Amino acid sequence: MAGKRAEPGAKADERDEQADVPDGGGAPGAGDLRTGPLALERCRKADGRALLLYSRVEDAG
Amino acid sequence: MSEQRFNELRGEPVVYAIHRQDRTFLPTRERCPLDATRPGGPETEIPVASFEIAVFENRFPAFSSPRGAAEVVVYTDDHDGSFGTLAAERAEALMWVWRHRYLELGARADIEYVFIFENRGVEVGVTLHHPHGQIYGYPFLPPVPALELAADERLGGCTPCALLAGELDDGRRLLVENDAVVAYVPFAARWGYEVHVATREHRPSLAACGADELRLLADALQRVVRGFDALFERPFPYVMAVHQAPTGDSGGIDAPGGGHLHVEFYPPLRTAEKLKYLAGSEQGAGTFIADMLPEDSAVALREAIARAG
Repeated sequence: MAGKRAEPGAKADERDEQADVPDGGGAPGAGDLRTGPLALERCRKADGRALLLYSRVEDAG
Repeated sequence: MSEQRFNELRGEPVVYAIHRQDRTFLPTRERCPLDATRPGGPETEIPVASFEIAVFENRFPAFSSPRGAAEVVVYTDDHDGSFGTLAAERAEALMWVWRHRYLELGARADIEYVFIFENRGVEVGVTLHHPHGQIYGYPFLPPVPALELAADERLGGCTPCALLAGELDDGRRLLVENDAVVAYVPFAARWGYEVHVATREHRPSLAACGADELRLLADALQRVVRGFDALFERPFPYVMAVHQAPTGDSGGIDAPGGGHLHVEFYPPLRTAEKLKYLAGSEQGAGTFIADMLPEDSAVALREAIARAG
């Protein structure tokens, strides 16, 4: 399932942000929201609750 | 919305989340709300046909904005998996998810402490069997991390650093070692098979860990859990608690002395069939009466971990 994305027709909506840039890590500070080897897809459920889908990016360092 | 009261006699907060009384309780396999939504099937909490790791706001939250947060972390869309049986790459990915949630929730003004945990098994109150954990964003510093900070004050330095040095020096209770983390049964374990997994270097939180440390942390955690399952050749119930630096005024993500990343396991089994109950001494006097020595538990767990591979 590596690199798989959410189904385009899924009911999750408001996909408002694409993945952080994978960079393989480091020792970041407080403002660092990197997700390393993962892509992040932010969605919102029909009742308004947040849903975050993380998936591994192919060929991430 | 939950209500928070303060128990003056105990000096601790109590949270009333009465809406949780109606939360989903041990649904059938076919009605698991943490499965992916099957095409044509009823919509689950995760309305996509497949996923790797999903995080969503709890439908029955103990805490919610603007006074905290409660999230569910679903490790896989494989209903029958477990943390221990995840592919190594997935377990490593979970560490990045934990890290990301710590940073994002910890940056919120209404959250003082980000607590990542997993309850496994009906023995510890699990209501959904699908492999998952939870995250609470507390709007206050809870008693246990407050005690850990107090221990640092009392001992004049980082307590987990000192305890780890003592365990490495003693050696009898060590379970798993790699370049980044060490797993051991603590000298004064309260539970028969309690295990702590601590970073060798002083890392206040997952945010301060590099990629290699996260990968090695995942590997050590999985080895411990697989060892648990091998110990009595049955799925081993536990509470897994990720302890990190507070994120509010009392600490801070970058606070060098505000905490030391470590993961604590509290398994309730004392034999294959017998549970350790928190009874009179534990509840009424706050003193654990343990049935076995940590050194003996460590021998059994080392053998189980070796069997599990």
